[in-house]
Amino acid sequence: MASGIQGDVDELLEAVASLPEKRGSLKEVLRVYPGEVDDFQDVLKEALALALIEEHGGEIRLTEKGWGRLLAHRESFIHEKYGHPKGILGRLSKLIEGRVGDLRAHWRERHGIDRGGLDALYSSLAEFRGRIEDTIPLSSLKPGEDGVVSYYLGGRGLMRRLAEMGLTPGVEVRVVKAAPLHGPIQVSVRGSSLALGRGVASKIFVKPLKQRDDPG
Amino acid sequence: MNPDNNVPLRDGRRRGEITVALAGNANVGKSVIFNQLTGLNQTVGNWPGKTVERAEGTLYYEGRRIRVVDLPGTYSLSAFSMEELIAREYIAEGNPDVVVNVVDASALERNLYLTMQLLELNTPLVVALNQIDFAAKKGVRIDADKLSKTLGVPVVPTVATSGIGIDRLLAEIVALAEGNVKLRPITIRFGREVEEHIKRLEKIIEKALPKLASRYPARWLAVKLVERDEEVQAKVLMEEEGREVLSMVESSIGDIERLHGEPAPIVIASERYSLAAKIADSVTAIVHPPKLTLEEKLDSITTHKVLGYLVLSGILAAMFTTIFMVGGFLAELLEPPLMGAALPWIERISSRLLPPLVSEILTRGGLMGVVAGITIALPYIMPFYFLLSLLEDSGYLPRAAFLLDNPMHKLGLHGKASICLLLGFGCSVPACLGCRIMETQRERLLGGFLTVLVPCAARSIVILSLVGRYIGIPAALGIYAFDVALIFLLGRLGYRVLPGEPIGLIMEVPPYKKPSIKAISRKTWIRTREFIFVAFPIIVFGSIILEALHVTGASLIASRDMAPIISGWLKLPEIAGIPLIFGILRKELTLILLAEVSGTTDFSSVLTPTQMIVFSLVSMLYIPCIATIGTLVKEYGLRKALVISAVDVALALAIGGAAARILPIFMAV
Repeated sequence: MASGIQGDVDELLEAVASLPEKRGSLKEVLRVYPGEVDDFQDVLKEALALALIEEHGGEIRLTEKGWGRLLAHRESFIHEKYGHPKGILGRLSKLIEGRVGDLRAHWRERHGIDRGGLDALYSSLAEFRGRIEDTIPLSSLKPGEDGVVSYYLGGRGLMRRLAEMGLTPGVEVRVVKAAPLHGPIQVSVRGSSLALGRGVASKIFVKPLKQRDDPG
Repeated sequence: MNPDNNVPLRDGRRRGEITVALAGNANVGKSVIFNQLTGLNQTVGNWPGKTVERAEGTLYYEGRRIRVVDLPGTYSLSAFSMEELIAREYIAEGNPDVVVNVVDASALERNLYLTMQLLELNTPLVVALNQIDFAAKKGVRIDADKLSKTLGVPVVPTVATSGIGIDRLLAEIVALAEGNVKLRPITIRFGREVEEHIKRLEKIIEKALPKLASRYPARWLAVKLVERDEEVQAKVLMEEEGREVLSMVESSIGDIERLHGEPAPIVIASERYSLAAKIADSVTAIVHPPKLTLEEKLDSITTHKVLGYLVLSGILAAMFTTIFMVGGFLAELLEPPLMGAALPWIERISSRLLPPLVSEILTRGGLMGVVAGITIALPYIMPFYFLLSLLEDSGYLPRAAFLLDNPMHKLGLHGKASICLLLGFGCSVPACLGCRIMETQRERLLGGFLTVLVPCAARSIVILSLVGRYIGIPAALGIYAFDVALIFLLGRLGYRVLPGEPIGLIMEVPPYKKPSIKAISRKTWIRTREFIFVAFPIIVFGSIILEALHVTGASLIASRDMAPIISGWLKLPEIAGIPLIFGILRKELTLILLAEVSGTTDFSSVLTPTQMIVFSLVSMLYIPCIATIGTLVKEYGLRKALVISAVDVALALAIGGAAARILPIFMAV
C-alpha cells in the first residue's frame, strides 16, 4: 500500500469489488504484508467510517456511496492511461487542462467520443469485475505479449468495427509487432492478423496475461 | 433461375438465367474465384453513385447462362460502410438465386462471422472454402463435410488460384438454383436471454410490420434492430406501427444491456463470434506446426523498422522508374506515327467530307485528344495497373500502410494513401486511380483531392525549366516544399470538413501470397479497358472544345476577357492567358505555348523572376489536366470532379495573386 490514505481507500474499494472474482481474503487480494496490518486496519476503519463499505453476513461489500467513489476512481484511472498526445503539445495541453472536473464532458469534447460510446464505457465500468488497475491500453503491450480485451473507450462506430473484426470483450489478443515512429501495432486475434492504428489501440483496454513460457 | 416466368424480371435479368452473388471478406481470393468463373467476360464499373467497384460477368455452364456479381469485400453486413450496405442491399433485395460465400480456410473463425450473418438473412448459400492449400501450409485441416452438415449448406473446398474446386462449385450453384438441393441452414441462435428477446421481437415484427416482414426475414429484422442498425430503423419508421415497434425494441435493448454490461451491438457480435468459434473449432484439426518460413521471413523484412522502409522506397522507386521508362518508351513509340503519319491522312479524308472549319476542329481536336489519351495516359496506366495489381495480390499494400500510417494520419488518411501521393509525382492519373485501394468513400475522395495537387512529371517540367533554370534550384525546391505544406494543410482541412467518422486504422494484414501473373494480367487489362471507356471520351471531347476555341479565335477573346485576372490579379503578361488555357490539355503545354506566344525560349526576357514563380505556381495548382479530370469523373462522378477542379482553380488564383504581391518584397532585396 503506497501513497497516502486517499489512494489506499481507492485501492481497498477496488479490492473489495474484485472479491467475488478472486479466491482469497481481502488481505490476500491486497497483498498485505505482516508489517502493514496496522495500516490496513486503519484504511478499513476509514472506509467503514465514510460508509463506503459495509459488513453483511460476515462479508465486506461496497455501499452505494462506495460504488460511486469506485466509479469515479475508475474514470480517472482510464483518463490517466488514455493515450493523450505525447510530446510538447500533449504535455502543454495536459498542463492547461489541469485537473479535469467532468470527465464525461472532457471525453466528449476533447476526444470526440460520442454518447453511445460513453454510455457503453460507463456501463462496462460499472460492470467491470476485478481491479481496474489490472487493465492497460492494448497499445502498451509489447510484441509477444498477450491480453484479454476488457472494455473500450471510443465512439460507437469504432466499438462496433472492433467487435466485428473479432476484438470482442473477453477475446484473447497477442501483439505481434509494432511499427516504428509510434505507428500502428499488429495483433493476432481469432486466427487472423489485424493492424491497429496507435490511437485505436490506446482505446482498447486489456487485461495482460502472463507469458505462456513464464515459469511463474 | 426465376421460378415464375410470368413475373417481370428486375435488374435487366434474362429469363432462365441464374444470378450468383459472390460475398466474402477482403483478401480471401473472392476476385480470383470471380475471374476463374467469368474469364475475360466481365465488366468493371462502379455501383450506381458510389466509388465502390462493381464487377459483373457471365458464363455458360451446361447450356445455362450464369450471371456472376462480385460484391464488395466485407467483414460484416452492418450498415457501417458503403461496401457493407451495397453487399447487404444486393443480397436482400437483388434476389440473387445463389450467394456464394467465399471463406478463407486459413482464418475460418473470423470468416464464419459473415457466414453467420448470411444465414440470418436466409440466403440460398453455397460456401466456397477457399485457400485450403494455404491452410494446409499453416498446418490446419478443415473437415468440409462436417462444416457442411453443421451449417446446413453445401461447402466446396477450393484453391481458386489454380482452379481447383471451381467445377464442383458451379455444379452446386446450378443444383441449388434449380431446386435440386434442399438446404437445411441452421438458425443462428444467441444466448438464452438474448434469444428470448429476439424471438419476442420477431413475433411482434411479423404482426405489426407485415409489409417489411415480407421483404426481409422477421428474425433478421429483429436482430438488426437490437444491433441498433440505423438503416433498418429508418425502414421500420416508414411503416405505420414503426414507432411502437422501436420502443419495444428499446426496452429489449435496455434489458440486454443491463444484463451484459455491454452495448447490445457488442453483445450480438460477441455471441455470433462465439458461435463461429465453436463451429470453426469443431471442424478444424491442427495437423502439424505451420511451415511458413518464406512468408514469415518476407513479412519480417518488409515490416522491419529499417529494412521495411528501404524495401518500401525501393519498391516505390522501381515502380516509378518502370512506369516512366515503359511509359516514356511507349509514348515515344506511339507519338510520331500518330501525329506525323496519321494526322495528315485523316485530315485529308475529313476535309473532303466536312466543311473545312468543322473538319479542322474535329480532326485536329479529336486526334489531339486521342493522342493525349494514348500517349500520356495509356502507356503509363497499363504498367501502373499491372504493378498495382501485383502489390495488391501479393499482400504487400497492407504492409506499406502499416509502415506509413503515422505520417499519413496527420493528413486524415491511412498509410495506404502515401502510395497514391507518391505516385502523384509521376502522373496524377494513375495516382488518382490508385486511391481506390483505400477503404472508405471519404478517404478515397480526400486522397483523390490531394493527389491531384502533387506536381506530376509534366508540372515538374514547368517548374524546373522555368524557376529551376532561371532563378535557381533552391527556388524550385521551395515551390515543391510549399506544395507539400499546402497539401498537408488542405489534408488537415479536408479531414475536418468532409462528413463521416474518421476511424483510425483497423486493417487486416493478410499473409503473403504468390500472385498469379495470369490473374494480374487479366485485372490489368480489364481495368485499362474500363479506363478507355470512361476517361477517353472525356479527353477527346475536351480536346475538341479547346481546338474549337483555338480555331474560331475564341481563345483570343477569352484571353482578352481573362486579362483582368491574368495581368490585373496575377500580374502576368497578358499573353500568358493562352498557355494557361491550353495547359488544361497537358500541363507541359503551358511552357511550350508560352514560348510560342512570346516568340522566344528565353523566358527571362519576357517574365520577371516573380512572374516565373507565379506562373509555375498557377500551372502547378490550377485545374488538373484533361486526362486527370476524366479520371476524376470516372472515379468520383461528374459533380465531384467539377468541384475538385473549381477548388483547384480558386486555390491557384488565390495563391498566385498572393505570391505576386508578397514575393516582390523579398525579390527586390
